[in-house]
Amino acid sequence: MSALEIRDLHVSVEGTEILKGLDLSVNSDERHALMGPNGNGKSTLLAAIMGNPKYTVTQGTITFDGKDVLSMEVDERSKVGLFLGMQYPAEVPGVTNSDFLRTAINARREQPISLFKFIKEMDHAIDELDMKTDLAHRFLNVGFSGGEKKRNEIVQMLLLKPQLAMLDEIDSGLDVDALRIVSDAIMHAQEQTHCGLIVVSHYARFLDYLKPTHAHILVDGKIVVSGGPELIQKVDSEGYDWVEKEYGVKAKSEEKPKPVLLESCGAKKAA
Amino acid sequence: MNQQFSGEFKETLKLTNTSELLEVLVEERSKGSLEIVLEEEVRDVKIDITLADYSEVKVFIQNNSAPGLNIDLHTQVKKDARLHLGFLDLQKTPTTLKYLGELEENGAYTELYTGQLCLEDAPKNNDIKMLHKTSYTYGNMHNFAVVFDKGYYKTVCDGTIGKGCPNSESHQETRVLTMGQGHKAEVIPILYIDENDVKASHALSIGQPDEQQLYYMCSRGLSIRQAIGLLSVGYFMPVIEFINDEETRHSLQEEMERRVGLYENH
Repeated sequence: MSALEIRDLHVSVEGTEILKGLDLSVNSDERHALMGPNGNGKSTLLAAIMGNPKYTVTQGTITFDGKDVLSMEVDERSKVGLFLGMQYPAEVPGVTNSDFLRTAINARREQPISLFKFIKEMDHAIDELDMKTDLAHRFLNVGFSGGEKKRNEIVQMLLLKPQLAMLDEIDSGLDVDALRIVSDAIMHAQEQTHCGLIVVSHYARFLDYLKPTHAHILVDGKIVVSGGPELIQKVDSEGYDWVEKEYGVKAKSEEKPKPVLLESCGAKKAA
Repeated sequence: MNQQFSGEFKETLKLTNTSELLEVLVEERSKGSLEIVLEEEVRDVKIDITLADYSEVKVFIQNNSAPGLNIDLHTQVKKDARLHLGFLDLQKTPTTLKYLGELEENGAYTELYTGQLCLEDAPKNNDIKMLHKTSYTYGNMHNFAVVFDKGYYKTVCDGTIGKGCPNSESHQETRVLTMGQGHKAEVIPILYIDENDVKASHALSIGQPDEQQLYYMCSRGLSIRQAIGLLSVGYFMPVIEFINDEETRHSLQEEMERRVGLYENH
């Protein structure tokens, strides 16, 4: 039985406070859907739990099975059982998927995993996610389509067997068939490992497949309403306007990236 | 030591004297691979490799020198001959590499890969030149280095296409990954082009690992040291792949992984 407890979490990035006192508890076998308008802190929450150096926790606590997560380095958080399926997985040229995963698995074992066992598990995960068989030999996320990158995150999740998996918009870039395959793999993984799940998604169909046990709406850095699957249905049919009205909150509008002005051109004009 | 190869061949030469001179001739229309191991005792070595017309050879040189190595490497490639040359240096001792690759006749082709690990008190100093002496010649140089705390790496990489060598190509890339503190890396890419109708390019990157790449790898349980080690291995793999023998390749890869800190848990 694993438990993630977050209390009064405040997180800033580049001096701007994004999370403003967030509470959340997630236990084994639970599936928590985390919803809310873009730019209001969902990805920030998951990144802060995982220890992304871009984010600074200024207040609050995060514990996992009673252990202080905030005092742990990123790799230690992974080894205690946390996993983040990222929205934008990094590309790492020169490092193959198989070398990377074998190293990651061995990092949490006393004795290195046997090559035979590793290949067997990796092949099984690749097959389960319906990915190309050359995945193992390709460089980590290099040349992958958006959907392939997301499915590769789930391949890693299947091999690393976390106690708590956080999936940040893992459905984006997936077609209808891939969505089903990914959902089935996630559910199957939870059946086997009893992990807790936090899923950030805007896609009702994806959430239908995953059948969350809990749902939360995050607005302006705080969870303002929590409930069950009925909350997902309400958001799907009515959007988020009713949340602002009923709970007296104002969603932060997503900052669009400002265009870069090149000012003057370096080329000399002809006389 | 003189060595001559003809027909199809696959050979390993181990040099063990403090000072060595090796002359290799690959005869016309021959094809094969040659592994040259510079053993612990070697300090100064001069290697001359000549490829006769229409021959094709893959040469892999591995530095195991214990006191430090001065290596003077010279290759001459004749008509429509192809040379793939790899040099791997993971030693914790200084290395000075001087390489002159001469593309002597039409169709001559040379591709050079170097991979070097630079640690404290083990500077690596390279002077590399690919000289095109006629038209329709092809030279490509790939240099990879990983520089740790207080390491020093310097490479001058010169591709020269002189007058009278049209339709030749000179390409080079140098990638240096730096880690830690107090290290120094100097790379001087040079293209001397004195002819029209040629192709030439160079690419250079020197820098620390990308923070988000490191974070991504650490988020899967790798320590910073292991993540850096894995990135380092990635840099050297193009050179390791020169080795034909699978067992030797795996053994060298394991040794490389150990040296860059990948097995710190075991």
